Amino acid sequence: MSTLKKLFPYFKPYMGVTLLYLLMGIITVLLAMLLPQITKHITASVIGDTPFSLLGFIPADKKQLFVVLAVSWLLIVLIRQGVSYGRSYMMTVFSAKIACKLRRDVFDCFLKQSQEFIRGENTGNFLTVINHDTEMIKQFYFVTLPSIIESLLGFIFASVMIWQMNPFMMLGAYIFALPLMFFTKRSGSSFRRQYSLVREASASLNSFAQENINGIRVVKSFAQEKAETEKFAQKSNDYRLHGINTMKLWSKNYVPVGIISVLPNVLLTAIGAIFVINANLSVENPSLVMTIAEFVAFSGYLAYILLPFEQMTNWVSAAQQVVVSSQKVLHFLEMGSTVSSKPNAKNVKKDSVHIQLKDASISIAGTPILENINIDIPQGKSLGIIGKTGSGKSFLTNLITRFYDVTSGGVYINSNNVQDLYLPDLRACFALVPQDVFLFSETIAKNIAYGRSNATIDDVRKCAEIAQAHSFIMDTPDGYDTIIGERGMGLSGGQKQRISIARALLFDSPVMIFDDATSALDMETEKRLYSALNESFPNKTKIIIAHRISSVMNCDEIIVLDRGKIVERGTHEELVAMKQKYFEIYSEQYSNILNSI
Amino acid sequence: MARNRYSDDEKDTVKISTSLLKRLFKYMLPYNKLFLGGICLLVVNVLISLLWPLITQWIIDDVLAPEGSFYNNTAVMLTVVISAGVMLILNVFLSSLRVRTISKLGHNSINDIRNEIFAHLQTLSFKFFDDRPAGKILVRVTSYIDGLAGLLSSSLIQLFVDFFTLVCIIVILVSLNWRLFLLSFSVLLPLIIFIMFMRLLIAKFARLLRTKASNRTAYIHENIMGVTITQAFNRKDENLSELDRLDGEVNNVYFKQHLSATSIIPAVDIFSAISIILVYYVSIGNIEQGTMTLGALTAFCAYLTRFWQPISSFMLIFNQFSEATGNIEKVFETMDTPADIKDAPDAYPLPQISGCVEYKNVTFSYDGSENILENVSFSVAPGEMAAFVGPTGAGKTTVVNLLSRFYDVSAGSVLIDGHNVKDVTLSSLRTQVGVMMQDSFIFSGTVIDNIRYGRPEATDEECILAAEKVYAADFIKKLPNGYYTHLDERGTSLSSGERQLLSFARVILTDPKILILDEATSNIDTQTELLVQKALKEVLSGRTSFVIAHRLSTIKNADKIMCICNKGIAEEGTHEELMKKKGIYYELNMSQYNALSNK
Repeated sequence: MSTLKKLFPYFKPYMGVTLLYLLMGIITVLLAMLLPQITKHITASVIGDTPFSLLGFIPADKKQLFVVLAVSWLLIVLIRQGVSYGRSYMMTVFSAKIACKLRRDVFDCFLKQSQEFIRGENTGNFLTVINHDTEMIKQFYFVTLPSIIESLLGFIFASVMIWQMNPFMMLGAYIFALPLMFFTKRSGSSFRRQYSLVREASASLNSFAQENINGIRVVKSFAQEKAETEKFAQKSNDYRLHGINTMKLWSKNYVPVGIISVLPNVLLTAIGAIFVINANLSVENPSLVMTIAEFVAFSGYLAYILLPFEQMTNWVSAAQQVVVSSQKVLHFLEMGSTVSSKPNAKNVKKDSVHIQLKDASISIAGTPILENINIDIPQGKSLGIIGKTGSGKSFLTNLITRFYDVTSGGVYINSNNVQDLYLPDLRACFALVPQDVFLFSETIAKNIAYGRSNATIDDVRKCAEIAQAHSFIMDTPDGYDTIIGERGMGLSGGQKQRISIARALLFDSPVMIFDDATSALDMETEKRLYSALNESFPNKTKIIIAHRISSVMNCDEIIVLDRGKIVERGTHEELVAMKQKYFEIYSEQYSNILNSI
Repeated sequence: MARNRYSDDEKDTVKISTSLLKRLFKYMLPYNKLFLGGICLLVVNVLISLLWPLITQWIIDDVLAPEGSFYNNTAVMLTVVISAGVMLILNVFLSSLRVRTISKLGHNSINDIRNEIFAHLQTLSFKFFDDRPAGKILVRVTSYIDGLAGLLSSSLIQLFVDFFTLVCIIVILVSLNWRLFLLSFSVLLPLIIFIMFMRLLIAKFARLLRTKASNRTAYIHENIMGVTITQAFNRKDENLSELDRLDGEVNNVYFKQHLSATSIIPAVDIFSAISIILVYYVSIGNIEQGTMTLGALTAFCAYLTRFWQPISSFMLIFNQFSEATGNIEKVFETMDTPADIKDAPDAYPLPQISGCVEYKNVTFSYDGSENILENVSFSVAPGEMAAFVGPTGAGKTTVVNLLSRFYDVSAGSVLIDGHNVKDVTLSSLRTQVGVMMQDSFIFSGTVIDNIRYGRPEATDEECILAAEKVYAADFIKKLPNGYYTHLDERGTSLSSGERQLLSFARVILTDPKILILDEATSNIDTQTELLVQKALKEVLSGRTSFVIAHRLSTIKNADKIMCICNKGIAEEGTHEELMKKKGIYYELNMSQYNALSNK
């Protein structure tokens, strides 16, 4: 119940529509109730000889009466179908909009999450939430809820009709409802458990398929297709078994409910017949008699009384399914983000950015990644970072861009703690060229303009030229309009890196971060790239992470990271003169090249 | 074929027809016992539930009407009603059994379809995966098939039952009063015309809906993968409005589809009302003349209402089928996509190779129009190390991809020990040719399972040994649970250098005779690389190897260095030979030197 309460805000804007929906529902049910009345009148007054009079209308003859009744019958059907057609359309629109809103919010929430969360989350699970769970909620409001409302309305009106004929019969129908309540309550929790299992199996299957498709190149290069197919079959089988078990549970629950819904049908028909016999035998007691016409109408209403009973199992199971899905969606929505702007966050002036790290440390799951880092980069200066694989180089830039928050110490931009700054403003200060190039399945031009979609093609071209990408782009079939595959399929590693650099350049921010961004470029291209960059944007701050000395040697300051600590710092000359780690790396690379020549 | 973006609608190539339905039925055939059982149970269910109106009619005519044969006979009435009740209760048990049987049938067939499409996907070449967003492929294995669940686990059987019910009801109606039946049947004709017309419309919208929904899924999927870029480039709001736009497109079609699909039910209801009114009109005269009883009329009308029920149900199944059709089409289309790179019919397993590689006049093009490589010929002797250098995008990766037959040559041939790679089985080829790709993909799972990936039967000791060989052991030991540390999808908790080391160990474990290292150490720091270099000497001995690297120091010791430039091999020779030649290779070396010396 609390789950549904939390989803209530999503329905609030549609309260008016919902009321209208209910009203239209009442109209259709009322009209449906009228139909047996008409058959009753046809039976009694057209076929039989009971005189007919309604609202002062007394028909001239039986023919006229039949025409009037037939026309009103047709009218009732037309209006009823019209109203319910409109009503069902209304519900469709309204449930689809709610689902869209939910999906949008979940998506929004995901895009806001910290990197730490995103890394830990398996994408299959998230896909299941955003695709499957929102759809389940939609289905519930679109299919199950209307069916519940309709059946209950039918139940209420049919009860009233039967009450008018014979109150005793109606009470009889109600007695059967009591044991059903008991069963429903009991079966609810087992349905919920079962649906959780199904959902988990489905998410796990999706994750597996998802990973297989993304990693298909590795699968094939190791000729592991058979093994993958077998693993998939196993997961698919789990999913199958859970599906079958759910239906077993359904059918198990259906037995008592089904029996209980058969009983009133049988008993009330028998009692009704006895009442008519009583009338035939001239029993006086008015509560124990019924006319044959009433009996005919009664049989019609009985169906409405029984409908909710018959549907009970479906409802319980659908309701539990939606509870499971809602919980997953809410879990996402309520999580919030550990990395987000404070309510009174300050804006950042983009023209000059002074970056300072003061005793910044971070540890992930108890393992220290960076310890006591102190860095000062005024606008326009450059910082080179060099260090072993896994020494925390990327984390350092992640702290500056606030993809992660420090565990202790602080990161400051223009003397403001980054945690006090408005996050979109902060991110706008940095143009990131990440280690793993991610490109979208879009045209090259749109990929480059990802951070500034209003950029002109000239801007795009200029940045591509600086990134040394222009000439190979012009060699592709459609130039800048060439569509590249997801993750840049079809491009070589170096080409992807250059597009990623062009994208960062166009983002036009005061600070550029190159995270091992030129590893797949040959040195010649790299050199041309950096000199074009310095020429066109002399005032940009540059943070360069690299393994090659040639990438960082021209930086104003170079730091050497080892196991999360800065072990050496200085300019290239100073570091070489120190003859420590940096010098070792330098002479290694240098001697290699010298030996080559 | 041009690449597909998330925003591009996919084209349909499979024609919607009854053959689709037939093909779906094929998946139920292996479970013919469940299938027949399900149908039998359903038939019994339907027959029993059809009984009830007969009982009501009997009560009205034979018990309650003065002229009935059991007039006012409570005992007989109760006996009949109670025995009917017993049968109805029995029916509840049978229904419950039916649900179990049919759901089992549905889940089993769906499981088979899912496994088949997944297995088929594994046989498709890289080109299939290069050409479309992963999200659009994923839905074919997951949600499209889930969408079939309703169809397979109830509707297709329901179709049989509806047909059977219809026949039963027609028989009952005809036997009750065939004139009345013909009368009501005449109303059916305009309804059928209406339905036929709507059918086309519904199918059209259903396809469009599937396409639009698949665009949305692909977009969401791509956004999940690229979330870092989205955050770094402040694109959240823009991407949200793009999602809104895609949602709008989906809804637009969805509403239209819904309007057309739901129009069938009111139509059926209205026509049914007309037919019943007609029946009443005719019957009134008959009753007055005494040729018909009131009970017969009530029963006839009751059955007539039920006559329309299977027709509505047909239409509902049809709607469901139209909705699913879009999905089934895509699923079957994928299953029908021929694997363009597959074992030749007479393919033989590649025998234990010594590692002699020869390219003969190889020409290659990805799209058939522009050649990436033209007339490339070279040969590498067993145990030799060959290196490819050249500007980025020159086609170095393409050359080695042809060796593992990830793509097929457009002309010419690639031979290993004299065997054309096209003539041998793919698995025997790829198990002997190890590749370490630029993009080192890590699977979610433990470190050791990732190392074991290419040789699932390897022991832990062998895996650890492989990791030690390539100096990956150092960083692995520092992980929280060492070799048993769980890695997330894509190994995001590792640095890219660590991922490269890990995938290096993974390749080494498979002990391939030919080893391809494509920028295998580009993200590894110099000091670790030194160690890896040392390891390489040992690891590469006895293997033919192909190395692509930008750090020329990596390839200095190669037996043969080939410069790829202008779609072919521009220079070939050892380091010393090429340096003497003062050509492209010399220039590359000099630029590296200059990069370090001219500050």
